[in-house]
Amino acid sequence: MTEARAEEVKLQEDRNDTPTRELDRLFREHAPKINGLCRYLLGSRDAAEDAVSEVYVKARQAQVLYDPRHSFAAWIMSIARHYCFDLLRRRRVEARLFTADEIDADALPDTAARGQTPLTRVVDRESRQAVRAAIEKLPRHYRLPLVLRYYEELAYDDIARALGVTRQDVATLLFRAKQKLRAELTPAAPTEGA
Amino acid sequence: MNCRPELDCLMYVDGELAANDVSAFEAHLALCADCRHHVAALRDEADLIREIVQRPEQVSAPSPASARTGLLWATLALVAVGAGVNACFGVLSQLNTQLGWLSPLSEEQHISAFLSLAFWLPKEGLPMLFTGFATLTIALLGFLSLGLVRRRPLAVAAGLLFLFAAALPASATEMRLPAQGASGIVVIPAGETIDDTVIALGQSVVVEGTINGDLITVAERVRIAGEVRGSLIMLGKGLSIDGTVLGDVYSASQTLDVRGKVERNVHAAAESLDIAAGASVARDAYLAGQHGSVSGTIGRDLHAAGQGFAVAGQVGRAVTFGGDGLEITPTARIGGNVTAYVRHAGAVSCAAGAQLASEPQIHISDSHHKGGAPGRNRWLTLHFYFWQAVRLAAAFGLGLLLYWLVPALFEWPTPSTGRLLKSAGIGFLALVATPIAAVLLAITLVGLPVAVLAMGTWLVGLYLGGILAALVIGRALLRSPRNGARSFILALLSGLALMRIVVNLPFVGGVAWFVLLIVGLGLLVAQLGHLVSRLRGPAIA
Repeated sequence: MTEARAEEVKLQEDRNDTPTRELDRLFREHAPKINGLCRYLLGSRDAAEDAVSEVYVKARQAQVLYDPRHSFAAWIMSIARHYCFDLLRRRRVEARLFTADEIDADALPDTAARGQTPLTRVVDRESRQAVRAAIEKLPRHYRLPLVLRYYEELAYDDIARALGVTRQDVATLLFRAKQKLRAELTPAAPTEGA
Repeated sequence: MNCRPELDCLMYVDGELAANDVSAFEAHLALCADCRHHVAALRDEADLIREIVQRPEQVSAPSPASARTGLLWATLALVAVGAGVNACFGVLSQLNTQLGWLSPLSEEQHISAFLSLAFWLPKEGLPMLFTGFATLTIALLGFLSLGLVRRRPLAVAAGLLFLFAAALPASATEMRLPAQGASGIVVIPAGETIDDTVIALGQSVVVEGTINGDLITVAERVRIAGEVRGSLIMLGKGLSIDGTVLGDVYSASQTLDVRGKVERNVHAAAESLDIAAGASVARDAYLAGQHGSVSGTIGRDLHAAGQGFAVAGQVGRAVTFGGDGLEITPTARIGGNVTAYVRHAGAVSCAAGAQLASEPQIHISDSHHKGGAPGRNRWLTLHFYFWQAVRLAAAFGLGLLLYWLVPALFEWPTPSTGRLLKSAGIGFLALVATPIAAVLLAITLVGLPVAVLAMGTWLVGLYLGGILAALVIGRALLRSPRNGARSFILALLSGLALMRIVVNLPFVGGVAWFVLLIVGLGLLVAQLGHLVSRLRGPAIA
């Protein structure tokens, strides 16, 4: 960990000498993680590959703004997140990621009730693949919080800030996302109120 | 029992419950086994999701190495497709013995085959030619992109430029420029012998001596009075051959007069062409021009295209003509068949005294019917549908191949009117600017190969642009979500089909074709730009 920190400091120091090479190296190191995030957020492998290139360009442009006191991973991931959100916003007519209606919509069971059983650990590869596919197919307003929470491991407050919703909304959306996954993956199970 | 709300359980598991709530929650957990089990299950679920989401996919993104191997396979596949196209040409040529010269498998020179092909084009060769051309160009580009281009694009471009420039005068060369005070005239006087390939640039170039190599010349006037033992390649205004050329003649000029001897083939495009009485071309002559007359001797075939041609001399084998008028005078002696592709039967006149191996075969070409000319409705002929289907299949196959190779080429945002207009603007520029640039390049001799390459790319681009335009139409038609091979295939097929129908409509077809062409070309340019900018990004596993 300290070694990684030292490298990041080096990036800062070398800024005038070989900063680009250093950035390239760090970027390449984090590329798979960036790619994964973009993939989940944008929902397409090709779009993710494009996005990674774009994120690289943006990182190059914003290189001087990088503060080595913070982790490189957090910095580059936030660039990637912002870029993907911008893309998602552009796909919509209005300049919002999702609307209040969408947060309130879907007549899912009351958040207080304990309707479904949580997904149990599935071990075989097919089921894992199915879970992954189900996550990728989630509607945007469920997918985004879920990915930010469990892929990026952001705190609720950070997710709320990134998505422009309240902390309570984040909890609700995560809850519903999981409900949706459970319903999706256990078709035989009764889904109340759906 | 007073169990906690589900949402609190979730927040507790995620460690997001407010600190003072946590103690209350945990106090409840200590009492309630039901909730304990539930929270454990929720935690298990969260871990599972985290694990699945964070673990890299089984099918990982292709590494640069495997991408390279992929490219290699793709190139091999392209070569195979090229061979297939070649084989198709072979089969086709067997279908019709008249098209025998078309087969690149024969021992005829390839250049000759290519030029001969030009005579076949007014019929229905265009899609096949383009497919072949595209295949070759893509194979070439595939090789070029192998690694190097990604890293050092400028160096590669410079290197290629140098290679092409260096490869043109293959052996030793001698450069001839006008001497001072010679008012732009380059003279190789009688008695002088040059053993090299000669490049001569000047206002006038006169060869009275002997050149043992090739002569490449760009000049307003060129006169060959002596002997050129190699080939003659000439670009200029007026060319006259009074002496002897032992190799081939390739020329593009305003006028061409042959009064001497050419021991191999003549390939010439000129406004006026004259092979005078007493002159001879030992093998084939491929002549394209406004007016032409052949009074001398042509050892083998004469292929001519133009507004008006007169044959008064001797032709060893067949005469093929395409254009407006062919006159065969009484002095003509033709050893083979006379085949003419003209707009009406009266365009071919054959004098009584002329000696022909057989009656001239006159083909009235449908595609030239305009206005009130009586002709069959081509929509009612089987021939028409067959060739439309061939065109469609060729474009469709190429589209699929490209989709397989570079799927990113076909991904663009939903087109808005503004985007389409912009695309059309770019396309129009590319349509007009490329030929102009090519001509300018061709004038500087070193740029000649680049110009040829540019024109080749341009032709391929026009064809590919058509495919992209078809895809735009198809996607608009189906309103399909853009991902997935199946929707691509459907959109491409329906777009191409609709395009073939629209383009063949009377009156509006031409305009529609033009609009589609410039939109498609513009889109292609934009997409390629996008691709290149992606390639210049970092190499990411």
